[in-house]
Amino acid sequence: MAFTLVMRETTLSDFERRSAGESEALVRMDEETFRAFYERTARQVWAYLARITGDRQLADDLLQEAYYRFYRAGAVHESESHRRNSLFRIATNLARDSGRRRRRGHEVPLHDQLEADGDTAGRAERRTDLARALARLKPLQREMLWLAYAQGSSHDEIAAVVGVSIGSVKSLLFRARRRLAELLLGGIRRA
Amino acid sequence: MPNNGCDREQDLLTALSTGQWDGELRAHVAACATCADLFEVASALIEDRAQVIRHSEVRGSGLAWWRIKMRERQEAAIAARRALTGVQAVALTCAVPIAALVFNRSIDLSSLAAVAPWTIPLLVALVVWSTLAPVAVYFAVNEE
Repeated sequence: MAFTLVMRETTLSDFERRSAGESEALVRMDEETFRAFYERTARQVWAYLARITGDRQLADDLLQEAYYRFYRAGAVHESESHRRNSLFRIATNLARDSGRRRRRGHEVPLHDQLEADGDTAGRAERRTDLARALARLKPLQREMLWLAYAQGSSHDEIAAVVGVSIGSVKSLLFRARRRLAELLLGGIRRA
Repeated sequence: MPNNGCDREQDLLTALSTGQWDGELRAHVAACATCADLFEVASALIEDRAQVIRHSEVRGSGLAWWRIKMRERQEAAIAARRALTGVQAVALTCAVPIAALVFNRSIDLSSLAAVAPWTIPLLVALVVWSTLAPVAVYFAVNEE
């Protein structure tokens, strides 16, 4: 038994050391850096995932997966913005993969799951309308609209995150915005 | 309507984010269908995001870090087991022909032993080691 235990520790450590050696070319965040980055970005990423998937629990799972993949990628980022874009891109791809596996039409009005402290009836209704309207958009449209107007991302950042050309962001965003406005206004447009 | 928006869109977005409006911009939004749509959409999304974030229950960074490191360790163990499986396959591939060689009656083992006495015990030991060593290592690294 002692020999076996010794073997286990030695073998596992050997493999771990070998794995670490193979990944020396990658730059993994240390704990302090990761935790600070997480604290700055986690709620934003979760909100993004929750709204584009329409599922709070799924957003929890995807959030953890997104940070794991981001950490494991070990990429070197030029700036905080670049790092954030990379994370959002990973989150977007995960949401798309999960969407392909889920049944179409699955919708969970997010506001129903949230505490309504300070939420007036009018505001709650407005958010319900938004959740339902977003659910009727294409995934790419939801992603772009949230990034552009909720997150405040630039067109360059949006293009990098959702994987479209910079030149097409403006027109795609315009169409998505018109569609969402139509849904929110119930098809009534101003003259 | 051209699908290239309005020149005042950025002004509108700035006003929404800062809360600072002027009468001229308000009048423009009332008259411009593009900016009216943008106002409807952007204001709804900005408000919604604030509410969603306010009510989010995201786990702390310490727990997130811990889970990442645990998963990293688990995946390293899985990779180690896969490598051992490969080693076992190679070992068996080598052991089978060696065993066939040892027990092949066409080989004059007595002549072989006379030339190199250590050959037969070595071959036998190699076959035994090739068979048992991967099994031992497998149980050693099996965390379950």
